[in-house]
Amino acid sequence: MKYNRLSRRMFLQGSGGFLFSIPYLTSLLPRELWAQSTIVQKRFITVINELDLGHNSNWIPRSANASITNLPGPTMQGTGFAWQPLSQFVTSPTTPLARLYGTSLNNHLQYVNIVRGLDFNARYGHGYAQILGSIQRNPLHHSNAGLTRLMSIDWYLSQHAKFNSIRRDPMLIGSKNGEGDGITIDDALNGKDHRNPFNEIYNMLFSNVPETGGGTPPPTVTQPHPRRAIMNRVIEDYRRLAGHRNISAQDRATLNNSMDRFNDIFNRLPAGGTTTPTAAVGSCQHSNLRSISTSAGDTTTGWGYHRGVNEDPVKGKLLADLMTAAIMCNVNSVFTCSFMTPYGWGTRSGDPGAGADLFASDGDDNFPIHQRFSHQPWSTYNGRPAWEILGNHQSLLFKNFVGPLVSNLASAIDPANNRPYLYNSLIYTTFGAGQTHSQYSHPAILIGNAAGGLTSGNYIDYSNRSQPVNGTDNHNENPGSTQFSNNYRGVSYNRLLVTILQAFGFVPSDYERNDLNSRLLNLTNIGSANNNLNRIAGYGHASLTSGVDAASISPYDLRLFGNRLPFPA
Amino acid sequence: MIKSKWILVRNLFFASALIMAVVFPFQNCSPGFKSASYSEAIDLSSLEGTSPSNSLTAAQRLDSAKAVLQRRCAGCHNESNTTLGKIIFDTDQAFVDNRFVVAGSLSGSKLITRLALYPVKDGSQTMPPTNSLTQGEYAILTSWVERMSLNSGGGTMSQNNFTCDPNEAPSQLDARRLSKQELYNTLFQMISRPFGDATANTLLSSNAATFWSRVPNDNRTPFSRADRSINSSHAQAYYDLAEEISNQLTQASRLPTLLSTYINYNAGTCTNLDVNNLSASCRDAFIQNYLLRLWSRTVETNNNNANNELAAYQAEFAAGVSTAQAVNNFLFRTFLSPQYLNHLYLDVDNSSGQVNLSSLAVGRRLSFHFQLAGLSEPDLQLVLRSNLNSDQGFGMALNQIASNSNRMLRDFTDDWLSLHTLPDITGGTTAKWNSISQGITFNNTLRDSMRQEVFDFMSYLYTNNRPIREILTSNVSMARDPNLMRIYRQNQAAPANTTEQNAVRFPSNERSGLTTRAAFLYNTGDTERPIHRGLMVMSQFLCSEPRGAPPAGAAATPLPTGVITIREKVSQQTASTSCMGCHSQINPAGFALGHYNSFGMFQDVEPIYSNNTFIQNLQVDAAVNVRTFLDVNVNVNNSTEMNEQMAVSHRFRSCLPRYYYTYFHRLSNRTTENNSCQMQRMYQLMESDASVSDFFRSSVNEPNFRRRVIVK
Repeated sequence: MKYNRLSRRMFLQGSGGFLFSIPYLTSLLPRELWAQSTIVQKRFITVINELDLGHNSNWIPRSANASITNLPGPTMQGTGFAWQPLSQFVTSPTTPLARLYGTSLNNHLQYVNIVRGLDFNARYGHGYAQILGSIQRNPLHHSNAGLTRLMSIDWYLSQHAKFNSIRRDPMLIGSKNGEGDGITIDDALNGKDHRNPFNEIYNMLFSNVPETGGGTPPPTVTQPHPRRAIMNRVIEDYRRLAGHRNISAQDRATLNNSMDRFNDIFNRLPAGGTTTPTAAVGSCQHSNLRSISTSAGDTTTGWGYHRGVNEDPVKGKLLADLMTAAIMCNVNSVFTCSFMTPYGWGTRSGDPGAGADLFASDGDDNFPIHQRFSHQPWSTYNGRPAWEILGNHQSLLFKNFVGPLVSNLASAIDPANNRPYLYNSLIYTTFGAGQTHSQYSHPAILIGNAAGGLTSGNYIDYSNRSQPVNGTDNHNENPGSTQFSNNYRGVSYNRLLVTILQAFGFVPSDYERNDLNSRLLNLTNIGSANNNLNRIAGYGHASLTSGVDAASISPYDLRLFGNRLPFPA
Repeated sequence: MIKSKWILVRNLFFASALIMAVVFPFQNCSPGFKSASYSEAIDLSSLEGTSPSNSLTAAQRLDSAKAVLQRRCAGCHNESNTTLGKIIFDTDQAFVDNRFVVAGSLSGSKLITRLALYPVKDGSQTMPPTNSLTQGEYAILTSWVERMSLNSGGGTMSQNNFTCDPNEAPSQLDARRLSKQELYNTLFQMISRPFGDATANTLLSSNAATFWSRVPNDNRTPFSRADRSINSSHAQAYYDLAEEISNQLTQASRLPTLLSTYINYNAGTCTNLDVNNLSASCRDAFIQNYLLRLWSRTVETNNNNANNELAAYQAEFAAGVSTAQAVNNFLFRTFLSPQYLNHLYLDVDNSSGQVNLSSLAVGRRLSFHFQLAGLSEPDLQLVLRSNLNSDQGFGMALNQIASNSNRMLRDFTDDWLSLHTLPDITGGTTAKWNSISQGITFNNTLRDSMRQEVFDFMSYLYTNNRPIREILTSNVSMARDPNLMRIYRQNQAAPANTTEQNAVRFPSNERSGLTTRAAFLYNTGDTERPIHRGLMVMSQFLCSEPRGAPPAGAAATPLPTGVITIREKVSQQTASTSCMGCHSQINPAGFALGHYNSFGMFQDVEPIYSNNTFIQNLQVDAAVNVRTFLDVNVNVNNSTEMNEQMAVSHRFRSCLPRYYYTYFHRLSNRTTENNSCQMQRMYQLMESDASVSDFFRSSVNEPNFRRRVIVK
């Protein structure tokens, strides 16, 4: 959605009067009206794929004949970042966007953003909780025990009335093992396990949820926000005064700035009106899924390993259908899905703890994916490099689960605003780490628009091509080596979290905390931009270790840590 | 803190170097000799290797100096050189006026500090570029400058370097948002009028506390907190707050009082208030009386400025809307109005060719300056019946409004001394700490008391019309916190209304003035920090940050060890020539404060510890010569004597006006401006031993305060 700050002012100074409607923030409603209004319920779905590294040539869009270095398109004005419409990468419905996606997203590229150049400020990613902002839940790889506790954003959203009026905890689906254990949960909420297998998921979602029929509902009439008309007059007060004869140019600039800020609020207040659905809307139907869920059990490959949900098109579709039904029945608005590797994390058949973990992947043949593939991406197996095998395996998740989920939500209409559920939702898909076990370029695939909070349809590149990265990670892989080329420094990863929260209507005062990064304030050894900072905005920890990792922090400008990422209009 | 000070010092150094480079650009020219014909000039050759005679008259010293300048400088620095200009003037005053010389101050006189023989180098090009002056020539110039402060030509020469352009333009007074404190104070006033202070406090501190907390804090960098614009967080918080307060004030139990209070200020034709059926006359009376107080501005009731505000706000009272809802909507709208959220001076009279503020606008400006709030009801009534554009009317208003200046004094002092940056107080665990803490409870309550004592002290000086010099010399204590009283070794708490007669004073000869208050002296740890203290004195009282920066790593270098005092350790540490360029000024200012331990308690002896074990007490030596930082060759024995010298020094008189000018004009950094009638007048007031209240009122007591410039 694009808003031209000048247009409103110029418009009012001209003819004036016409009110228009765009999505709004429930926070702006009087509190007593929150529960009474017809509000678009947004959904946040995370699909974290610990399958595991995101090799650039697997996930960055590529044209049929273009290398992965294809240069992004026009630079976003004033940002220095680059972007290109995804539609330009796909010349036909059968053109794979990249190895990872195949053609699974081709019909819905207008909802998709593929984001490159998001760096963890220090150390590497590699942990579900960390990816969603709760780094202190991943002590396995970092000296982070001393970090202040913080909810991951899925929990934050689920617990906040502004987003989730029913205040139901996130629906955690997937692996219970390895780094997925305790995924995203603040310690205070520990004990919330992921649901697995399907009968557990079904019961958790639909117990005592009545079914309703579908069809075309009658037109809905909503009232305008009670302050909307007054806010319009407030803006008029500014406009009128800005035209006063005793006003200076600077006075006018100051008033115009205030007018713009209040106009932003005005725009978020619902205008009300009559809505006539133009398409059939979704119903709440789930009983047909009960029997399938009960019978869908473990299946094994010839090697005796589990066949994970991502590997099995029937199971993948079932999970997509379950989540779609849950969304249409409005039983939850936050879903966090984790998919684990098996071998190497102790879920191989016969290993301690192994069982019917439908979300732990078999891997490729008798090959321990994480320890062998991810830690040795340039090793070969049957003549193919490990990263390529990994990419092929990762693509199954998109083919069997993400693709069907996206198709489901794109075709079902939310009666609240007569838009596809996918438009009102945001799906965030990522991996355990970037191209190597380093801090650089964590993959981010965003699908959906958060009910207008986010534009979509683009490949966005925040990396700085003048700053290639070098050095080795914990497994002696060099992200800047010729084998991994095209790795560059980018911007702070946590800005993505801020972007997601703001897309869902949150403002900094909702989520910013002064206690998280106080140890990084007023220092003089963490980079010219970061020295003597008296505040670090944003969400989450600005360093992934409990100490001060100056060398890793210094390349990033923490003054921007709380800034929303610029997206193409 | 030290580090940040050094950054400031370093920046000032570079800035100074740049300025000097402009003043004395390098010229590869030989100092040509032009024959001098000064009849009373002494024979230069007779001075080689000797000291200039003290028996010379001022005129003879001037002529001798001019002869040196003519011989060694005028080859380049002359009127025909349009870049450099002339360097020789006819009178001492002319040298001062042209800022080549500060009478009596070698370090303040750039004509001296740029000489190659001057001992402290600032990195700039030294003069002359070739063939340095002889010792005799140097002595002639330095003697001339040093003695210039003495009787010269029959009167004491003022060193006031501030200049005043009689045609100085008034400020632009462009719109800027209210600070958070100003917003709170004004909102408090509006609630308090009908419902009293207790309700106002409850509504803002309890009911609306959540919303209030969302208003972004102002930038607390000294002198930077009055940002001009609002951001989206401000707008959202203002919205939430307006919603909450509007709902609270229009509850059924409050609405009648709200309406009647504001209507009765000037009921006009509203003779019968019916809350359930508000008449047009009562409605208009409410709108106009309420907005007059919220904005300190008369509501426009016609369309002369295309701004009929009365008509605009009448819209909230449309037919079919209940009175409660209408008033709710009205309040909500006014809490977001530009006239309320901004300092906005639209009410001007430019019919005479001058842009004079309206009487109400002047009153509002006075009120926000001294009270950080809109006009209180008594002040408003006075302003309404006065003409503040007349000197008499303005004087009356100033006397009344400025009589309550505690908020301004607190605000200014906080900025000036950076008191909000005082570190947390947590006490210590070392043996030395346990010994010197003497049972005092160290926590942030004590820190706040230290800060409050300084604020109260400034208020005492202001309220009691004490001379400005007492900022540095008064021995009146305002401590009321038992822990702070123990630090000050005083048995009695300061009375609520301290006067000259009932004041509690520090023990004899122990301390006086701001530099000896605990808030100034406190630092974390158990070790005094003379360098830090010296820097604070120089920066905050003398505006004289040393030019230069310590070598890399110097701050982290441990002090020497051994059974010696902290003074001796610092002296050893900074003894090298490269250090003494700055530390010759910093150290004495800090050493003079040696009679106070790390949290400000008086000490005659300094306990020496080694490896956390007491060794012995050593006598404190606070005696210094203030010449290097005050430009007078005087030995002092302690901080009291230093403060007495500092209080009447040219440097302090040049510095305090700069800080107040910076605060007054909401500048983001301490001003370097010299051309200012305000600062010149403040200097004159300090020179004439005027009172603190006169000093702080002087900036508004001028015609330009009642005007603005409108740049279209």
